[in-house]
Amino acid sequence: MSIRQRINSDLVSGGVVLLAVLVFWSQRDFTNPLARSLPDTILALLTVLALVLVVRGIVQPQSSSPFTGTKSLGLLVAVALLVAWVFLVSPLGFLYSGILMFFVASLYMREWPIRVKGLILDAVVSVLVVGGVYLIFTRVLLVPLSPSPF
Amino acid sequence: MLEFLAEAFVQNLSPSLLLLIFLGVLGGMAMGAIPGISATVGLALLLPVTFTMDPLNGLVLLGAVYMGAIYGGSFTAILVNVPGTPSSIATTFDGYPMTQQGRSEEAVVGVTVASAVGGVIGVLGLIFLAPPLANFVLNFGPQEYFWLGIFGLAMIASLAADSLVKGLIGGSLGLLIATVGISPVGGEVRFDFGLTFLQGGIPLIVALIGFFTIPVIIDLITDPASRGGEMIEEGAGRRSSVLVSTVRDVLSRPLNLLRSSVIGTFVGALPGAGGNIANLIAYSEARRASRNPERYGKGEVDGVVAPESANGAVVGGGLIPLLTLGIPGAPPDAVIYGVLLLHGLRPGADLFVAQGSLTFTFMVSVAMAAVMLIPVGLIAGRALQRAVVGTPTRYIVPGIVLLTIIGSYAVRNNVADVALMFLLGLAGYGLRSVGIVPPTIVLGIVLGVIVEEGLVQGLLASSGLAAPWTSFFTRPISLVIIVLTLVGVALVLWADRRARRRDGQEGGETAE
Amino acid sequence: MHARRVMTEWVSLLRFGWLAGLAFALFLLAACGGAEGGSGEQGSGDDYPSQPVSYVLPFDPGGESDVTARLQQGPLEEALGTSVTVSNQPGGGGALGWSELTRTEPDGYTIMGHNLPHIIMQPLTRDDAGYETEQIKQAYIFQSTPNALVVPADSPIDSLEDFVEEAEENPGSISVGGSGEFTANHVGTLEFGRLTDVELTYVPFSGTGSASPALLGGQVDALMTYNTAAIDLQDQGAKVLAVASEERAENLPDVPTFNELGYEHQEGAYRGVAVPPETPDEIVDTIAEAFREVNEDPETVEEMNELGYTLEDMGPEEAEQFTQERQEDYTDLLQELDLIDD
Repeated sequence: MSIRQRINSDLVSGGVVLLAVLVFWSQRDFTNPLARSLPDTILALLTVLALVLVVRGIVQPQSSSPFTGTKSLGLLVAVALLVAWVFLVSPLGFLYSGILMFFVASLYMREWPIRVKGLILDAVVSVLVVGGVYLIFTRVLLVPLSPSPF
Repeated sequence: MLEFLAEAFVQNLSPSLLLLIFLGVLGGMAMGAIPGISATVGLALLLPVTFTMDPLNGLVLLGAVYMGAIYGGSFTAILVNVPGTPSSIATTFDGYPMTQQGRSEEAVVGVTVASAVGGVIGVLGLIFLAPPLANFVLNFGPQEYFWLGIFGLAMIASLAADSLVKGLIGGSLGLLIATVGISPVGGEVRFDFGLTFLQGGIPLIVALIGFFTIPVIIDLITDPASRGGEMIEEGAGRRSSVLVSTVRDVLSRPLNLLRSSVIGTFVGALPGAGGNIANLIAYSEARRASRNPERYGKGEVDGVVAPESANGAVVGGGLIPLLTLGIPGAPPDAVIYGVLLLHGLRPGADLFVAQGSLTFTFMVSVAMAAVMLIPVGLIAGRALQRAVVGTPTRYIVPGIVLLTIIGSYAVRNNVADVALMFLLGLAGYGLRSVGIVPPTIVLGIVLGVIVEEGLVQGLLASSGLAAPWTSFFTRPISLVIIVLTLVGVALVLWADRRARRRDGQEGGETAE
Repeated sequence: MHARRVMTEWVSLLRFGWLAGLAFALFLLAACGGAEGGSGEQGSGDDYPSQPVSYVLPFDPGGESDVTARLQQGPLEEALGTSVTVSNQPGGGGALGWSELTRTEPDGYTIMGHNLPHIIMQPLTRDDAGYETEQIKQAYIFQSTPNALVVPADSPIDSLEDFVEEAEENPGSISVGGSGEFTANHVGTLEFGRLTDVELTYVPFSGTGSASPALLGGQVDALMTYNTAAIDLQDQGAKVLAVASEERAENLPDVPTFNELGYEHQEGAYRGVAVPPETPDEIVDTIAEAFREVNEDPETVEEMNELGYTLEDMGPEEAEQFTQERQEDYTDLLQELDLIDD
């Protein structure tokens, strides 16, 4: 289903920023006065700005629906696809994770139903594109991409 | 000097040098278009090749690659919203909207003209103004860099989409991200959240790729039509007319080209600031001077012309302190410096006299490289643009993801950066949906470094004063920048207010 | 209407799941196939090097270490008899690369540039630098750049003696710029301050390239920089007061050493190459021998001199001993100045 959630963006953003300030504040263990001058100023400024947003969100509630038209499952799939790709890089290496996920992504974005011809075409494109990019980076640009663990 | 110049010009017309420039520009363009491969990396890769060449050919090749790489960065910025190098950040602001409107060819032609003009103006500045500019630039101390950073941050006023408060939050979040890692003073590790690799900070390119690209990828997967319905239709018949009309359009506003190129030359000549800052300043100045500032960010051609002419001019500008003082104006110049030294060429007045023939030929060749962008860009560049536009979205999307992953890895050959890029991108997507837009965050990240270094270095360097902070308000150039910042912000806010009032009236009329 | 949309979205999710499953199955197949073919051959010390060697710099391209490595690449290939690729893994003033090195396969096929005093100071001054000095197994130290003290052309200070006097009269108000924190420039400033018992304010810049304009523009009163940058500054009229090496620097023959002027002070940056801990000694010796040959290559020697570097030849044992000595000195210095806990 489509996300039609209306949110009070001032309240939400203010809250998120306050949370971020809190997280950063908890990590503030450095001592040199010059090393903390800028971070402290920014954290104070962010707190004030976030409070302004929160107050504005309560006093003048304005809701918006940022995800109008975005399908919730589509969003989920997009993020899942990216997460899978990013986290497969370490175990599989750039080449194999690339070919695999390029293939999956291109098939997913194809018109359904998929014909065998399309499947084969996408597989060939995946291998060629990812293999080509891999070769350019490792051979020409000398970027040491880890090939694969096996 | 004129003798040298004439001789240099003639020498640059020799087929062998022209071929070298052509190859350099083409190769540089390809490297620049790949996110994660910056101009500096490209030059460093070529270093061993230049060792085997004579000094002139080596320098000419490096200059051409540099020019090509800075130009190439605009392609990914326009076509897929990924700045290929940090010098093309502002190019995404209007370049990608143009692509979404099916006007990517116009954008590509626009940046080609802009880069060529900017590149030539930068070299003119180098040839005719090097000594006075270099001397002036030395007056920029830590305090001035601090204020320059604040001046840049004031751009938030024009970048913030609908709410100034949210714009300021975005900028502050960017500044906060910039403080992650080793502090410039005290050598302390800040905000590493217990992760050792964060002591190296968050590299600008990793943040750029994440914040700009991940939201676009998510958009494209959830709604492939957001790539722009008309993208594939650009017919062959219109091609020549787009070319001619765009060139005429861009050249019809020479002031924008000139202003942006002068900004680029000057910022490039500042040893503490390079293309990453110049393109942003040029963009915001172009918007401020425009009669239609509300069109910026929605596909205004001047919005891609300004940053690209500025970063083209940075190439020549950056060579000013290098050739006169031995101080690299921007990181890629450090590589050129190495080559100069290897061949026993010491920067300084001597370089322009005793080695005048070589030096002038090199400088003119950089301008030739800028001119070479026109044929290369209009043929190879437009071919690339057409190829990207013609490729189905189902291949474009995984292709972008592949490039973002490898690109963020390549910045410092670190797998953790890939995850970092992705997390920042997700955060950027979330923040964008509540009105905190990625450009403001990125602005904070870019400028955070010079703001903080300027602040702490300024305080330390004036520790002889009773109150060191007063040094930030007593130096003449600092005061000029402060005034410019205040006036600039006031103008933008005033113009916005007027525009809003106008919109409000129009809205009222239609409602009646 | 709604039902239809929900349907299509479920179909899209199922489609994704199905594809992911299919892809995973394919991947498993590939993995099985790959596992059979890829039984790795571990190279022992005897046939080293039989593969290309990766020479990694933990710094940005374009810097001194980077340019040096790219100069060495050709002669190193000759000496090792295999191809050498140079790449960069910057971050944290080198710490990211060195911490990665401690986790790298100790087969000699990854070698990394290292830098004194960085590899001593970072573990000393950071809670967790990601590595310990002892984990950096040094194969060779091949060059050094001594510190040099420079003042602007229009400075009233004309000699080292003037400098010390000026600093005694105005404690803390003489600003000395340099490249980075806890670098040779920084440590040199601290050491010299301790030696002469004066208070100097050190201003760290992000590199030699951004420190030089600060001196020329008069933003700082003096600069503790490397001899390589000092020569350019001298060309611009700045006064080089002294150089912190044992003998005068070759590119600054007219500048006295600190020792000559009566101040026992030597400091500078040393660059070398290191391998992961646990690397077999034969391999380390092979690498050291190769770098020794590179340092004897006449063309390289000329290029290094051109760049203003002093060549050093310290093999694995010497380098380790040298590092230990320096480590003790630095620990004393930092403890005395209360910059680290005892």
